Amino acid sequence: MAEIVLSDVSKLFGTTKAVDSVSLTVADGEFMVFVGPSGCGKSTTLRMVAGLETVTSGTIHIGNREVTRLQPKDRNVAMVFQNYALYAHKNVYDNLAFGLKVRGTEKSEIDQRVRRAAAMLGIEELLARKPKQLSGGQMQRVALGRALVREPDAFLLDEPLSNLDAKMRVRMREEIAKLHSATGSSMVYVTHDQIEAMTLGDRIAVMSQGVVQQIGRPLEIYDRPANMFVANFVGSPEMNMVEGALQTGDGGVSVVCDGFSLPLGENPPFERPPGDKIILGVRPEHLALANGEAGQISAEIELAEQMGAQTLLLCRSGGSSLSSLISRNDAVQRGDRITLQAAIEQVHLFDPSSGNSLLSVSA
Amino acid sequence: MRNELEVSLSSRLALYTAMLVTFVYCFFPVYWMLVTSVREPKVLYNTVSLIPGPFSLENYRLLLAATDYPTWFANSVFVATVTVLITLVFSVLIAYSVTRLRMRGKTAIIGTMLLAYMFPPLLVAIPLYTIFAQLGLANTHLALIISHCTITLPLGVWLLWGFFKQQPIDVEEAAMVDGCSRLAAFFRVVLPLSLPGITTVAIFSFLLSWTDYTFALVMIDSDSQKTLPVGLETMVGQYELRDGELMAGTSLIALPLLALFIFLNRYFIHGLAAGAIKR
Repeated sequence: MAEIVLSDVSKLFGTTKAVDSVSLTVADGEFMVFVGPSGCGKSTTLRMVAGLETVTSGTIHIGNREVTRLQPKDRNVAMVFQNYALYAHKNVYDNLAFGLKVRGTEKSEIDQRVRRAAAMLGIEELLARKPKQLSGGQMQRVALGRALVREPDAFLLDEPLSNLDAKMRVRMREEIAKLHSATGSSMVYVTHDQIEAMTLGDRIAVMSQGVVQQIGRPLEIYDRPANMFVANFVGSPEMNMVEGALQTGDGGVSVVCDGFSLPLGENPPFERPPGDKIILGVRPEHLALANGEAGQISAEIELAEQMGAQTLLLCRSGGSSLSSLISRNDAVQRGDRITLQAAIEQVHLFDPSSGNSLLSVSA
Repeated sequence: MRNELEVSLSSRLALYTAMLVTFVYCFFPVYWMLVTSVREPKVLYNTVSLIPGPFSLENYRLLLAATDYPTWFANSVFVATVTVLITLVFSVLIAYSVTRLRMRGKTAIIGTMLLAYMFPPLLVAIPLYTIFAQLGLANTHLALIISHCTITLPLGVWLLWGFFKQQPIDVEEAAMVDGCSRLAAFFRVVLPLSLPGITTVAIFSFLLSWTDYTFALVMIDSDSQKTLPVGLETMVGQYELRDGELMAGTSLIALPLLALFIFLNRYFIHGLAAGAIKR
């Protein structure tokens, strides 16, 4: 068990900056998720923690030790790889035991730990099998078990579920969450899947282009994204982003967009002169159907997607397209004219040039 | 329907015929070699028959009694074994570092290696001999081993390069995180997983060295240093034919190869396929 501290960590591949001055702390026992699109530097960051990539500048501490220049074997971390990376020539038992054997652990101790890990993961009956005789889900369990027996300072998981089918992914997600609460170890988990990030993480670090865009608790990030990238990346369907301009009138400040205008109240929580261009962001699930005159946005439905429990409306209001996610509604149809409403506290405003949120963000 | 069936029947017939022709083409020389080697020497030149017999081991007895065959055999074993060992050590190291380490000129290394492999042996043999003569290595097994490595090493590197390339690097990394140094990961994980590729290279280099005639002819002068192929050649005199003994000799050359193939067949096929397919 240990805290992981990254201070100003950067990684250059040739002249390309893969990771740019990342500083963050994973608290002891915390489940930290690095999330971002492919090529954002999340895996490279994790691999630097593991020691599989050298650090160009900055330092990494695990527990009280500086590990920046240590070999992977000397860092006492365990890693789970995307393609499982099992030792194909060894059976499951020996796969689990390998890390302990290499470190010269006593045989009886190895046996005890391997069996305990196998029991935790429900793979006892597979111990004699070779990896090629296992299904994807079983292989991933073995990979987890291999990390588990080591009782390391930290678990590092690099997209461990992306090779599994959708159903198995959900099951393994639950198991990883259980495993974390059972062991209480620090875990760093890399994924490009924002749902995995939201459901698993105590905290999430959203990365893009080698830079950590925002770190926070999942709902914090969902509620108060620091910039347009985070706002777009977290949450599904994607947030509506509409260009607009600020205007001051009788009822206070409002934002005027192509097709509609949205009042922001008397005292909006930011300082911007009227006429300033801004980007208005509203999540589809926060755009509700309005009853009559309460509605602020008049729009026409271009497509209604029935998804079962919910209905996704793709609408057009003037020159702006908006999507709205509402509870199941069998009546709505393409071509219907509707009014939509958004609650002020669920509206996001961004600076169009920097992309940063105009609202206060807890980081 | 009937027509279709006929077509498939005739094409199947053609296929089987082609297979049969290929089979005969490949195996008849081997058959003839074995049959001749165990035929009584007196009968050999009187009647030509496809049917084996009359059976006799006289040819083998004569071969072993009248020639330096055991010495040549020992020489061949020594040269081939050392060639295999050198090839394995170097091709594994080179191929591994070329696939795994970030370094400049990787493709150039592979390219030049393959280029070296493309020269006909004779072209390489004569300048090599001059160099060895200057170094005082002429007529030694070392010279022969080095010259064999000029062929086996590029081939080995090239085969293993393809092999290592398709092995996921994650497995080694997993081993390193699990507590191995890079070297330990290499020995405990990479080598065992590469066994098919390594076996393939071992068989190929053994084969090349064992059957080599050109290099041995150029490099070796004295009878006591000769390997089997050039040794046997001394039996073909200007005025005499010793077919029976010659066939006995060649049968004995083929024997170790046959044994090797039978034992390592499984790995060999696997290694060939693995090296061939790029993923």
